[in-house]
Amino acid sequence: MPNQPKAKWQQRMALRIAAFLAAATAALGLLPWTWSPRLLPALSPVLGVCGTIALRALPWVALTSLPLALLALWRGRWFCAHLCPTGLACESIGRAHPSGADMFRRWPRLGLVIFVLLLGSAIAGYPLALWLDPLAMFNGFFAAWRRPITFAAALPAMGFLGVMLLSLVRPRAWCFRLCPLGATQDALSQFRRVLRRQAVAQTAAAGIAPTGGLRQRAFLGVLAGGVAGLTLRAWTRWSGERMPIRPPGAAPEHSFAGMCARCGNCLKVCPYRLIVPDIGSGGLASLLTPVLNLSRGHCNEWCHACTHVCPTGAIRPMTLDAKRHLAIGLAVVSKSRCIAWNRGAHCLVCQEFCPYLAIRAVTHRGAPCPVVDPDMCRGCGACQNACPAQPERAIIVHGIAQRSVTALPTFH
Amino acid sequence: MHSVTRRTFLKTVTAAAAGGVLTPGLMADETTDAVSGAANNLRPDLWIIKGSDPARMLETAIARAGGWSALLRPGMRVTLKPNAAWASKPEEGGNTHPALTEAFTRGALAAGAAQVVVCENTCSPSEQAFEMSGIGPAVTKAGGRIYSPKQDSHFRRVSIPKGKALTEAEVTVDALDCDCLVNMPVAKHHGSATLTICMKNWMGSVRDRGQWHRTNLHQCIADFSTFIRPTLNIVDATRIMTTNGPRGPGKLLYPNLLIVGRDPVACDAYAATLFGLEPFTVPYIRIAHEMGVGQGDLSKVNLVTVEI
Repeated sequence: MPNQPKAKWQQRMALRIAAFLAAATAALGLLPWTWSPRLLPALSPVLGVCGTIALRALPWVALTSLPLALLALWRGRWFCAHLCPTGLACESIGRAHPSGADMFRRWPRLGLVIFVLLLGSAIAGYPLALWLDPLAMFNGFFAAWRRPITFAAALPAMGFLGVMLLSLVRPRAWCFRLCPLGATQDALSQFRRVLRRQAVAQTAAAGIAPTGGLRQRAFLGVLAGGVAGLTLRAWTRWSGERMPIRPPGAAPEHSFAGMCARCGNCLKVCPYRLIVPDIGSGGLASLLTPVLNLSRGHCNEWCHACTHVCPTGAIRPMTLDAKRHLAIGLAVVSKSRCIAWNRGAHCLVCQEFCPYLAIRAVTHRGAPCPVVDPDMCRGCGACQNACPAQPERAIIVHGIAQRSVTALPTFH
Repeated sequence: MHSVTRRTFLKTVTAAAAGGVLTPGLMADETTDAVSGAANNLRPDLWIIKGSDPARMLETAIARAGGWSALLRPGMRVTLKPNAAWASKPEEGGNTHPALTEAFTRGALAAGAAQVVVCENTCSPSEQAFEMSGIGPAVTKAGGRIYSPKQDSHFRRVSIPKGKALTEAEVTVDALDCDCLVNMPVAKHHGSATLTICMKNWMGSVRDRGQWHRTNLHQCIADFSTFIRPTLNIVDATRIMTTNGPRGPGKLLYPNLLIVGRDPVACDAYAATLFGLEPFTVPYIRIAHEMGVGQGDLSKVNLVTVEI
């Protein structure tokens, strides 16, 4: 920067600050549109490209990353120097440690390694670490501050804080050596250079190692990523004795944890605060992915907010009608705890509160007792929250692979 | 329909008016006579209003029950207890018809009520229940206030001296500390209580409903009605949900009726017949009758049918 004319530097700084504020506004959910929280992380080609490959489908949201990908093709890391909010934060914090400014140069370019690993694992259907994306991290940091602030709710902020801590110790190491978004832009601009034979000839003529070696290494990286992705994919399928309850529209469990960028959007928009970061129930791979804690309330039948904010397609957008026909879990009655089954109380509060007519009453020793109809149950948890059995509720929703179920009859 | 002589009509109107209006405290201990076994000897009046326009039906109902002046005096604090528990639409029959709550609120304020408060401990999230039922906008539009009690200060613990299973309960302060309490339930099927009409509607005014379910629901429903004495009961039977209650969606019938009376047991008994049920097969109606809460035997009720 000292070499640049001061006015130009000031202009660039103004642009960066404006971009930072715009990003923070979007991440805080201050924009009026329901889909606005996904805008910032969805800009990243890391999520756009890897998400699309892993999903084997092109979700609309992936197109959001197209401008940045094109920009990288033509201008390389222009985004990093002019717009990236995480980059600005890293740089500002790094100023506190001026003597460390060049310490990062000894580091290998891990960002490229991360990028090829991500690519390979995405091909295998399980992107390894989409959450390393700087825009997703930035978003997670700002999305985490919602009341009540708890340890679990603040966890999505940890990635960004980690990057800030690193920037304090080793300034610029994140941006130039680790960031997968930076590496993606490098790769894209390289790709363009490879496309132009002239440039290839020039590099060869200049005596620089031909790209063959790089290609080999990239291929090996993709392969390694693929193997790792497949391993994790298989492992998440086998591990965990209990299926977590995912937000409606979630990708199949074997790829969900990979697809999730831990951006914190779905956690933040849930008006009932049911979606929490997983801290163990789904195994290590599932760490910090969204799961529904239905003991906090039930997944409201008139709400589909969380399906409209996912930047990767890990949660696909759903209409309210589609969401109302989707089972995210299955309620299970414990006859030993149920006060109707167990001691003949006239209860059936579960049936009362069920929005989907999924509880049938059968008479057992003179009392009406609840039975769950799996063709109707959506696993919303209304029954679980209303159940008056003590000390432990007698009807609990269990996670299942999401599926569509029977429509409600109409009577008028 | 049962015929009514002018003499018994006047007598019961006076008696009921005395019980309902002149002792507005609504506490069991203040209205001992009305709650004691003597109630069964009374021939309570029941007005059956048949029509198609809920607002007009309500006006007729009030007029038949003695007019607004018999119900309240200027400056009184009025609490209306409709059934606004569920996020379901008016045509589904899960809640009281909003037009009734609007007409009541407007009429009561026009008659000089200091305030009309609707206080409902909803089952669905309250904003949704009030909005979808139409009761929230209706009450607000008519000048009343509607809210869902959530804080400690919204409830007060009271003892229910005549209760057998339910001896104390946390009840909304608006149901306790008002001058005129009007119960305006909708009649519908109920999975565990068989039917929910007048007496069962008070579960929306208590904090811990689960306790009732854990400790003999039918007895608790009857017990609570030994305590709470509304000035008037207005049962919305314009459409009744006959299956999948209380939430629905369920099969509907359209009796197009309001059932109006001061005796909740009589109201419930009459409404039960709309579902094709003999009133005493509903356990809490039988229990309440036996406890002397009111008259569950319809042959001892003065039925007045009004068609508009």
